[in-house]
Amino acid sequence: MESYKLTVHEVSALINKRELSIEELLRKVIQRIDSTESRLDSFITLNIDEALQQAETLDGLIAKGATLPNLAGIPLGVQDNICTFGIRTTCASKMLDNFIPPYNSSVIEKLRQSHSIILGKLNMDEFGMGYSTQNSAFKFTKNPWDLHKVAGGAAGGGAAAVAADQIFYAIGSDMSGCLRQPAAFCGVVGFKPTYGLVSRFGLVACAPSLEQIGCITKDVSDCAYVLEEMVFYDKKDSTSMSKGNSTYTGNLVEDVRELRIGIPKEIFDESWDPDVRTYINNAIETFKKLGAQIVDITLPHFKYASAAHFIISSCESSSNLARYDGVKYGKRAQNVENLEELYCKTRSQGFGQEVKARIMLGNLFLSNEYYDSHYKKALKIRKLLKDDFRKAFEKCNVVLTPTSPILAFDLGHETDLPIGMSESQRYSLLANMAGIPAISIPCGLSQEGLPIGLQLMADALNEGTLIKAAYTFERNTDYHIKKPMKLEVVE
Amino acid sequence: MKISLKDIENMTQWSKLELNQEEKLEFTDKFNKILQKLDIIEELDTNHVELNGDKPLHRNTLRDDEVQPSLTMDLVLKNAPDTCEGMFSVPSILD
Repeated sequence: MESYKLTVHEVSALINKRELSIEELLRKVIQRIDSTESRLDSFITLNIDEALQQAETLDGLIAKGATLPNLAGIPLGVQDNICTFGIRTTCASKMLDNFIPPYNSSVIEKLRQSHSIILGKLNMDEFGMGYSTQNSAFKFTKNPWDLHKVAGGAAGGGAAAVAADQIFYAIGSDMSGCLRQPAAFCGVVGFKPTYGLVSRFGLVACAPSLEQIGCITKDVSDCAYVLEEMVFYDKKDSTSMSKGNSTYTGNLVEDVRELRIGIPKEIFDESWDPDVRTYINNAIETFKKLGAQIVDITLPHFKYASAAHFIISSCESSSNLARYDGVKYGKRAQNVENLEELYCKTRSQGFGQEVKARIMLGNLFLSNEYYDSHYKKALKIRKLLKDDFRKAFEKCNVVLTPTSPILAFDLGHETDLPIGMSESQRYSLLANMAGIPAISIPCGLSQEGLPIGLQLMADALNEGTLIKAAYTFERNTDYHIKKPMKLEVVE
Repeated sequence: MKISLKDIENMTQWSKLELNQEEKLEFTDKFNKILQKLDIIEELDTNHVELNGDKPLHRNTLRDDEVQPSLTMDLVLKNAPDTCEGMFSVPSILD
């Protein structure tokens, strides 16, 4: 098998045994990008020259007998809203088209210390606002399983790149399922940790109370390896916590006999694609056969979650995006008479329509007339949802839902519904509202050959439980090793 | 609740944006559809919910107020659209 098709843990073993040089691996991956990128559009910026220099340095260290960390020399992609020193970071917006961060985000600093190789910055919906990567100001990312379908979003670039073996893993942010939904659409693993577990310092903020940095990987083992590198206490992020367990790979154990899986009765409705229904039911049966106990639970406030999420994320976005004023960095409108005109013209020219809409609605919800009826009420609904989950976790260890009740849809599909109110993120946004960890793993392929994702959520700081449950499922199914063959046919 | 063209104009001003007439009409229509979807929260009585009664998973931690190394002025100004003698330069703020 070509080395670019392997997983993080597989290539790491080969590098450690000196059976594969880092430069050799990197050149294979670059060839893979060359042969697929024009059809996928996963990347906004590539960082090949620096990557090759880094590979040469690392091979030199290995030749001298150095022992390197697990992720050393393994190429990754970074969502384009995470600051990378010296590498353009655009948030897929014209507003930041020319922005080159003067510092690294903390998570990138940590991965740099582990000698990870950043191969490029990945396409996304502008400032994370969208669910199909069709709101990028630069390009639409296509789904490797069907180039006429969306890759999902906001992190569509990362999911497509991992699924197409252009990179071994991706780092990105998850505001409403932005890592998990594209992972489900592209047949890979998407992980959102507990709120505060991974530092958000250097993540371009949009909705800070909902966002969390996580990863997209080829399988659950890789997810545990990557998570181990990402979790640490960071004094630069006031919400960072020091309670993380840094040995997630220790949870790669095949055993669900103690697991109680809760199925919320509210989730079943007519919106589900028939194939999603079939494969989610199959997944439940698989867990039962493996010894897990299935229990009925209830999330009484589920039906209000999407609306509340939309209001909170709009309010926070309107506030956070106020910083783009054309003064200190990013776009500046030309031919303006005064400062007020500078602000208005810069923002009108720099932001896309979806971002403008969210800023305007956020300001509306925070206005005197709407504050109590919308913003404050949404915060109360979030609290009620957290209570729902607290009660649910008294009866079960994990909650199971589809990641998305629908499959990847056609490119160009227009909708009036913004992020968080899309059918495809109704279940994934629950974890963002509750601040709990969640994972999406492949659990089937539809009749038309599109991946289906299974979501598992656990109580805060129970990442280990999720990894163990997901790993057990993965070891007893083969969906994670299926590859998007249509991409190879065109190649 | 339903919003009017006048509301859109207010929202545009609060947001420091400029919209042409066509965009204003488009947003009025789009926003009313969204607000209609959000009406679902009206049916839920949340008067009994205390926002401050939640025990947080963790408290925000602030570092000590001590001077620490920061970015150099050159680095900070590198992305600026316009600078003048080590400062950000902007158009006139007074008419």
